[in-house]
Amino acid sequence: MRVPISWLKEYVTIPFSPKGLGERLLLSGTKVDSIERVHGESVLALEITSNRPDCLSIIGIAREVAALTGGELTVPNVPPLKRRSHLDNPGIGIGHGELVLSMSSVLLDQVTVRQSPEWMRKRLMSSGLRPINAIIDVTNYVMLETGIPMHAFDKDRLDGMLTIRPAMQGEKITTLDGITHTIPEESIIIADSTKIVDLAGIMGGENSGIRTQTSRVLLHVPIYHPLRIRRTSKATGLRTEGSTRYEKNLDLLAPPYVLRRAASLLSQLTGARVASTIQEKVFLPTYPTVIKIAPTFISSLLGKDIPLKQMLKILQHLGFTTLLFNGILKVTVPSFRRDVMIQEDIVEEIGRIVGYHSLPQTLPEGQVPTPPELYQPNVSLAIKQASARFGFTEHYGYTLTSGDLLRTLSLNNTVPLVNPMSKEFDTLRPNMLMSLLPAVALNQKYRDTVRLFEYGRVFRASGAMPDQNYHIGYVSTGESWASFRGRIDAILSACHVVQTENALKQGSIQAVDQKTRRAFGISVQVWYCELPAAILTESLAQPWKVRPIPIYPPLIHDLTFVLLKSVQMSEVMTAIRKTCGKILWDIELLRTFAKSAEKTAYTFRLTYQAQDRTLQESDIAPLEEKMLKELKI
Amino acid sequence: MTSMDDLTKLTSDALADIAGANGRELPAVRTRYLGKNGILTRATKQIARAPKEERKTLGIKINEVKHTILAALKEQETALTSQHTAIDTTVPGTKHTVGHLHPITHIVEEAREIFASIGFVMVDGPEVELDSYNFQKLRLHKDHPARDTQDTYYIAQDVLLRTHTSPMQIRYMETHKPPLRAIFPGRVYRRDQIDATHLPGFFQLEGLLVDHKTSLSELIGVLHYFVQRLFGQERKIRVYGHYFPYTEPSIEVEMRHSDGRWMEILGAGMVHPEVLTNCHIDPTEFRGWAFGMGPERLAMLKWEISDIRSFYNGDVRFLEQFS
Repeated sequence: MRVPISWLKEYVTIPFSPKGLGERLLLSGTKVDSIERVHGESVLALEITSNRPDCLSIIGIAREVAALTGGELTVPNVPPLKRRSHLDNPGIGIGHGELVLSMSSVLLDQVTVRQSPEWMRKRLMSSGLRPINAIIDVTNYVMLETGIPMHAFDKDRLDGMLTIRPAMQGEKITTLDGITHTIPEESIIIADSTKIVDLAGIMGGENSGIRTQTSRVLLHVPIYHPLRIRRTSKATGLRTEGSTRYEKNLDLLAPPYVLRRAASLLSQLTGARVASTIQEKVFLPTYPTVIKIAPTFISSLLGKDIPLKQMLKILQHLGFTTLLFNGILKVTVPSFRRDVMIQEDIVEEIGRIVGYHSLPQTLPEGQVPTPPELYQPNVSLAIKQASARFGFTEHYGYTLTSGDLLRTLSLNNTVPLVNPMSKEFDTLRPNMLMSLLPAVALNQKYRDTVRLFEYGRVFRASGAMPDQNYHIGYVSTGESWASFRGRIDAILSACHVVQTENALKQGSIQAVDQKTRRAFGISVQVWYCELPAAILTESLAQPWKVRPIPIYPPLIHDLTFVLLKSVQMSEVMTAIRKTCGKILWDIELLRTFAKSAEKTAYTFRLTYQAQDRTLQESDIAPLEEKMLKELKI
Repeated sequence: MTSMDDLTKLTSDALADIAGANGRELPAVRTRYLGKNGILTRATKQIARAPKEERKTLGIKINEVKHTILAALKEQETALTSQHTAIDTTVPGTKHTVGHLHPITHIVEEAREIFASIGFVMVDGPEVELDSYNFQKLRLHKDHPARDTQDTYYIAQDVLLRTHTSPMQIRYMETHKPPLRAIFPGRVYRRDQIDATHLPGFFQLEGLLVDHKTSLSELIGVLHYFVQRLFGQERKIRVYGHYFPYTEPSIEVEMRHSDGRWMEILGAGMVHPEVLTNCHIDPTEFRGWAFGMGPERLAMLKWEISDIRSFYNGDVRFLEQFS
């Protein structure tokens, strides 16, 4: 909403500079996007929240200023229209009651279409609207002034009575901008006996608009059902100054005044005369909202004692009427404030005008709650810190990825979006690799070694709601397998995982295959590990198992096994552990040596330890024999 | 004839000469005092000429002096040698690689700590949400104009990617009895044209307090406390009225940046009584307030980062700058 300050000054005294005014409006809830100089004067560009359509008007903003300064608001006083007897009604019928909440219309004749005066044209341009001719300019001017849109039809281009009705499937209209639209079903339209003349609330039809030769004007000030206007606006993509207002909860009692104001200006500027009765209909019962509120409630919710006198002054300046009875305030809400419905809305009116900066700033006095969540350790941080400790840098990737890419990589069971913005981000990631690999691709230009991890949710289709569990993923380039695996083992150990092999079985740990790497434009080898975070969360919940330092010396054996390449390391280590039991304190793989095409030699360092005695060779020999048997050597 | 005084002077001369000598000069100093014709050697030879009763004390003294000189020489030798084989401690060491945590993690963890200090617990929640939690129970009914500013990604009818962390207020209030204090960080999604300031997904941090008695003053007090803890005690904020369908009164908070500009950092307000009722909390018995902020924005203000995409493209040259 653009507000030329000179126009604003017509309704209220402004004892501030434009900047000062902007600041005060901001603090009271009217955001100032910018202050511009247009045609030699200052114009405030305001951002009005959707609950305050009354501020989509110069008078509305003037009222806000009056409340802030304690000054007086001057609204143009418009005398009643000269009614002439023996006239017909303007000829608008309402087909469906719920479409029009209230309405005021009149027919004017003896109209001469000319340019509107300089002062009006200037104000329209400063407000961002193009002057066209006096008729259209008056409708726009009064809309900006009062916040209520209206439409002017050329009566002589209309065939018979007008009806306001819902559009049926397939109906079309060519609007004033010359574009033909297929009207979305259920939109509100106005039609005469032969054609559709108005896409109600959005834009008038080309076939009934004002032309230079127009001499009779049907002036129509309706308030339409806001949801219908909103739906039509969204469906057609048409957004006008009129439709933006019609989408909101406008003042249902406003049309009569607005009609008089517009007709009076048209009479002054174009010679128009009233040529019909005035059709005024209010369809929605508009009993004023009365809110009962204790002044102590206001002070208590704000956290500061506000003097009653100040509260009353603020409310009165904002247009509310107040009655104090037995210590309770009865506040009658004006018709242009349909957003004020409950006590808290009254508190907001007081608070924002008093200024939130004047409230004391205190910390909560209440008791500190102790919910179950308080007793859970900060697991995600522990996992992240363990990962960083062993050389991985944390990445946050996008959780959306490309469905086409997933299909190329044969990843199924994914969760696609119904309404994506682009093909690049049209499906939720099913694993962490999809967001880690783009980062690897980017960094390979700058670094030979890249080590990243990500902790976040991955998504899999699973009935009505997808699975959205936390995973942790690691990628590494520029190091050996042993080095990578070593880091992962260290991270798992830091998260209290005892059997890292079992943990890794529940996820994956591998080299990223060439097809996948190519899909991301990665030329180097990439190691990758991904695990459900639950594994680490569970193990971190287990306390450290601290073993007492042994008093007896250990027995250390280096054993070399020659095994077929097909034998997996995990089998070997499980067999060794199983055979030895508790007496095996530690096992370390020292060396690997390819003996032949089919066989590999592994040298392990086994540390045996007893808690109650020094182990002898004779204690260990049978174990090692058993071991060999297990491994079939 | 050498006297005790002469010997004392000899000692101090010798020590001075030793202290002032470098590696090349030291042997000459040794010779000067202890050599065949050294000063001390000559003094020793003169003991025989001293009166009989003085010979013993002189002898003892000369011995002492000799030991003192020898010790000083040794010390100076060691000192000078170690200087030659000394390490240049200004040479940089081997580079040890270390991992780094993401700036958003830093902000979230710092927020956790700040709010924990005033009794708030941190809770996580789902990213794929139900329309009822994301909108309806927060008074954002279908066709509400405020929904325009939150264009939504859907995966099915009424199943969407949450557009804000506010649904967590509902989830927490439905499962916990007041008094309650909690913060809810997490990813949110907006369906926008993707450009330098709009990403498909980003982070938010929500906060909620519900108690028998609280006020807007407590809300503003807590927000100011948070800003001061995160950005410094001198940081100024300003608060102005705004509108959210789920809070009444509603406010926005701006913080003064180092360049003097006011930057919006969060929205907040008293929880709307209807929202409390939707969670089966009696609004005549309890009242509450809530706030929402963007960790990326806070990080950008704290560390002068200009492009929000830096947080998500994974460039290690950016990520490595955080501890």
